[in-house]
Amino acid sequence: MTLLAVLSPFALAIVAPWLQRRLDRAAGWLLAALPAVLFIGFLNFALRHPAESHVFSWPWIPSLQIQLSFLLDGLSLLFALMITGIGALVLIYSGGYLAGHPHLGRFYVYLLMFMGSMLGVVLSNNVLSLFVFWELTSFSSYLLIGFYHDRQASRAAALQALLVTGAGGLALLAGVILLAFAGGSWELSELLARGDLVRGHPLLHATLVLILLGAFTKSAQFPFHFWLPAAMEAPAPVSTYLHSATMVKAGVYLLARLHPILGAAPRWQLYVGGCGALTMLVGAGLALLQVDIKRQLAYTTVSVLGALTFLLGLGGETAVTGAILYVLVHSLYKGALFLVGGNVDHAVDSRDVTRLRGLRRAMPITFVAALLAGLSMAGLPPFVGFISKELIYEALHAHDLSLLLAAVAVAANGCMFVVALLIGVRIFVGPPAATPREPHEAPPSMWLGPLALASLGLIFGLVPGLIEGRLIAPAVAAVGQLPATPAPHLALWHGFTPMLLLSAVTIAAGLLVFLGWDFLRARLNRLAPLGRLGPARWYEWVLQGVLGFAHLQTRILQSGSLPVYIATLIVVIILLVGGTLLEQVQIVRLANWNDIRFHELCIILTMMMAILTLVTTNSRLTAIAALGVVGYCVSLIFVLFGAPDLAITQFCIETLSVVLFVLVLYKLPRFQVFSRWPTRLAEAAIAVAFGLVVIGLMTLGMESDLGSPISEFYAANSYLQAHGRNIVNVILVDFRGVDTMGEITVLAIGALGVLALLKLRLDRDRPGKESS
Amino acid sequence: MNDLYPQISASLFQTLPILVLIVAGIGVLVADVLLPRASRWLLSWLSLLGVALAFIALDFVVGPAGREALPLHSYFGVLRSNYLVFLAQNVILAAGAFVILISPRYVGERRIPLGEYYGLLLLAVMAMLALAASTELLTVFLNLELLSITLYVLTGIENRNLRSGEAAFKYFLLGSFAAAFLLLGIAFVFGATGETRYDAIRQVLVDGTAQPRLLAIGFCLMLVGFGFKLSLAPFHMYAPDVYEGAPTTTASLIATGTKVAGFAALFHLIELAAAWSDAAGGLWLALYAVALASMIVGNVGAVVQPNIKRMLAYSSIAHSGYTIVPMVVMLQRPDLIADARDAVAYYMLAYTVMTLLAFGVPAVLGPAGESRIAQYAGLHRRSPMLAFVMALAMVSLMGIPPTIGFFGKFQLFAVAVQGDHIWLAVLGVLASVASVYYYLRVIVTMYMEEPATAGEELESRRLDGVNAFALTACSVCVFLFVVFQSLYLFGV
Repeated sequence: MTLLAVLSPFALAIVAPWLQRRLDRAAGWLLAALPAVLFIGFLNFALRHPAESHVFSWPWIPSLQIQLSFLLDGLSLLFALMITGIGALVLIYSGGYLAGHPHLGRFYVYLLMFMGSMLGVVLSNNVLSLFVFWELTSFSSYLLIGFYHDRQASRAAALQALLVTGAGGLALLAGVILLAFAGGSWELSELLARGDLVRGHPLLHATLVLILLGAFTKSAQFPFHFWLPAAMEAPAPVSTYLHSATMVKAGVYLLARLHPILGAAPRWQLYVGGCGALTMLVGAGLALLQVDIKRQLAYTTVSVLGALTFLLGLGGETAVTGAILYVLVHSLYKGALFLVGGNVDHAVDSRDVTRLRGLRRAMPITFVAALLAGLSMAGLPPFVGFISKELIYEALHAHDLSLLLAAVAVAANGCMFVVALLIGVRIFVGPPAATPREPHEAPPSMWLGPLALASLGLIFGLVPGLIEGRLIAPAVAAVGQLPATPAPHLALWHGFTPMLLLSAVTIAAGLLVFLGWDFLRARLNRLAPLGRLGPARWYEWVLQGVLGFAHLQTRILQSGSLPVYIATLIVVIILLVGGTLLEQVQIVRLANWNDIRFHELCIILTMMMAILTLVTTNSRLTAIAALGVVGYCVSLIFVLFGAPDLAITQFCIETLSVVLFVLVLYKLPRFQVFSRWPTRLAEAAIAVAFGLVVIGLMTLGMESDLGSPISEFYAANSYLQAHGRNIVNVILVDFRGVDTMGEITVLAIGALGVLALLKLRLDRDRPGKESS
Repeated sequence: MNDLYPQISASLFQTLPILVLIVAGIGVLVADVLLPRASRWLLSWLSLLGVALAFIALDFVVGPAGREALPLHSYFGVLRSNYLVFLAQNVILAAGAFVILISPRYVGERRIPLGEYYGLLLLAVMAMLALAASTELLTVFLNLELLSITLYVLTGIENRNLRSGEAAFKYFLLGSFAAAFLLLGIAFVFGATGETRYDAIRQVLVDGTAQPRLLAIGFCLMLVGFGFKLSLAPFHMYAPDVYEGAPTTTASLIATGTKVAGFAALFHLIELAAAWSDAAGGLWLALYAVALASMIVGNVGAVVQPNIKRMLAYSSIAHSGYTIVPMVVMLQRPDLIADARDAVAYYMLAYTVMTLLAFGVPAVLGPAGESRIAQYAGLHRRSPMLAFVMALAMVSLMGIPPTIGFFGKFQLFAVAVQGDHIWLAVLGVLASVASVYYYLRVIVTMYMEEPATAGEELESRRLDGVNAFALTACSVCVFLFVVFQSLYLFGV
């Protein structure tokens, strides 16, 4: 069933464009049937097997002992229910929101692809397949954010989100590989039981940091939070589904999932708790500065993700329960509010909170949904948002934490309260304001989703028992590895407790800020230039830096100039070989100077002069002649050291190549020196260094004992095997007969080349040839 | 002497695929002379037949060398067949077949001489097969040179195109340079050990009677030669120029078959070096630096390339860098050689599949599709299949699951992690983050951008059946070998 659940959205995605073309408006409703059925299936499973964990597996990559396996326990069930439930509503909503859009079919494909991937993330038992699905969600998120691909901002935001989450995903890959090696298994179900093994591993810290990088980028934690508000370029259903309800919670899911393994690691509390608290505050504060509904919601989402991370970092039963409940509660109200925002945008073509007023008359149903969701977000009783906020305060209280953290939580919740009233109440009440378009109520497909989600917030608030035992407790048990006892008592009223006091303070402070919001925002906006120093700018710097470096390396290394290529190659070899040579410099001893005879010295000096002429001359012919002199000197050396056959070959080759050179270069324009003296100086330095390396190599070769010289073999075998008394002759025609043939062939080919060139010139010089 | 004949005849049997290709190559050249001009199109089918026969010879007549069984030797240990070689040869033949399939229209449009083109192509494939199996120093050199010379000609074969000539010239000059160093390195290794056969050299290394100074220099110089052939940084400079200037079909062969053969040969060399206890020092450092430089230079360089073939050239530099990561590891950890071999073998396959796709699309699009990436704007509307295939290749090259590119890369880096080369793995992964940017740019251009002016548009071309078949088969492979992870061993 799990495999089917994960794969069926992908299968449906393939036929979605066709369905969309055939059914048009009804397609959204029909497509929603699949997640609805899956939702019922998961619900059924949750009711029948509360607090049990099941593993389903299939073999996948036997060579790596990797199985495709799925884990179904309280935690994954909760997420799967949210993904399928909200997914169904969002599919229906999309049909209305994007009605008539030419690429609606493609949109369904992306959305279903995402749904399958997200289910894969939360159901995977194998850490590797978890990663695979994780990256697939990043990728489908990229496609969805960039859906309005004709907008530049939209494309940039899509790329930004992909680069940030994709890079985090790769860190996660490294992290899970380390985790799997440390724990000796790829299966989460086994790793969960081997927490001690992982915590005892020397690379624990690296594992922790890498995995947290993955989770933090996905869940938009500070300083990676900037991609989430930018991603609001996406259509409203995408913002609802991916960027508030499900995908951004994948990081939180991962933290919760690995909590039993890494929760007891030494720096977990510091990293996770610290980062979460910071994000909670930053997100909430920035939300107050926004005037766009979607951006306000995005920043509050960042804040909530921070709070969730903070709670998981804190640890302990109350905190974990608070986190789990908050995940659900937030998905309900924030999903509804995003859809409300989409409705408003769709109806009046504006999302500016400061300009919208009195929409309740034209959009009564949307108003009801907004009000219900807003009050839940504000944390007012009798909504479930209130219960969850109380739990957060209780977790803080249980940990006996400082006033500072309590202040952070109160401040963040206060900001949340303000935004909730702004969107849930303010834009709907009062006298209607002028809008770009005349407001009208949304079609049923577009109010069903927000209304359903918002009502659930009220129902769960009034009857918390509905979710407490069947959903929340099993999930908490999975996170805390505790027995599934329905421990913490979800209820609206706990009596007069410190938590109640904090709630009251939150509401009072929030109300105050709400009333003075316009005034406050104008003041705070003066600080806006500070935002230019924020992490979004860091991202740009990195991006620009990479591009700049790429251009630089192209200019330097990829100039297209052959001399530069060759110089680079030689420098590398000098470094590679010279380095090795230098280590052995004490062993290399130059040959005995007294051995050098006078005529040898003459030859060497001639060669050196010829080479000097070669590199300084301005005439091609002189250069060729000088090169020929070098060649003849080399063959003289062969003669002196007793290799007459080699000498003859070399002599012939030299002659031929000089002739060839002359014939070829004859036609070229006058020789010119293109390079300037600094370049030439550098080239000279490289040449000298390379010469030294070659000298080193030669002396090293001479120093080494290479076994018996080959001449002994020939002396012993010439007569016996080849029946010849002249060893050189025997070598040439017998032992190295094939060599000799090769040499003759080379010479013949060279001679043919000369002949061809000569003939070409003769033909051209002959008058009348051209005309005939 | 008589006792040699059984061994020689057994060797001939072992190398049947190579012999088949030699016959086919010469046959094509002869047929080019004999056939009337109107029926020269038969040459492509003839060469395809040659490759098919070689494939049959390899897989069904000779059959796979056992994965764990003793490696088979032929010609007195000069050539070797084992699981890696067998896989590499299959991949090379598949790449050759793919290139032949996408060639006819391309070659026809460019008026490239058919006989020389197909004849040299077959000989190049043959040299690749031989190089992949070579386990003797001089044989390695000879096969490398045979391969290089055919490729020089194939690069410059479009003699009306100045860029093709320039590419061939650069390739030839730098290639000869690198070959000279390879030869010098071979001389030093021979000097140090007194042997040229790998198994004999290994014995000397294990006995510890080799001369360490010469050996270190010899291996380093050989690394230069191989680094050039595999376009590893810093020996990569020719690659973008050559890939851009060469006919795209040739470039696709240079980028895939040559590299596969080179990887197999380099793997054997590194495997040999790993038997030498000092290899973990200097040589390891050199290889480490080369791997790292290739990953960084390739990925960073590709970001700013406006030309599709240059971009792919840089991408192939980076992928060469990834592929030698396991080899770096096994120099220090000889116990991981089997894992490294599996990873390299799988990645050779993965890399070839996705690179062939990425080169196949420009080749099929013809002249207009070979230059600027911007010209791909809006391709998905005009040629949905080509756009999809290209997107698939890009996604796989990025290493995004569930494509073959991801699993290949995963195995490479898993070996690095296993061998305690965590930093190498982390840096490699970071380098491949940059790759997302430039691969994605192609997808974005194809699917999300509109041509700036009417002239920018690629003419929409109808795919002919052969091209469509080649591209489809290759696309299927992107997923096939993921689902059936062990299928690529042909049941070995």
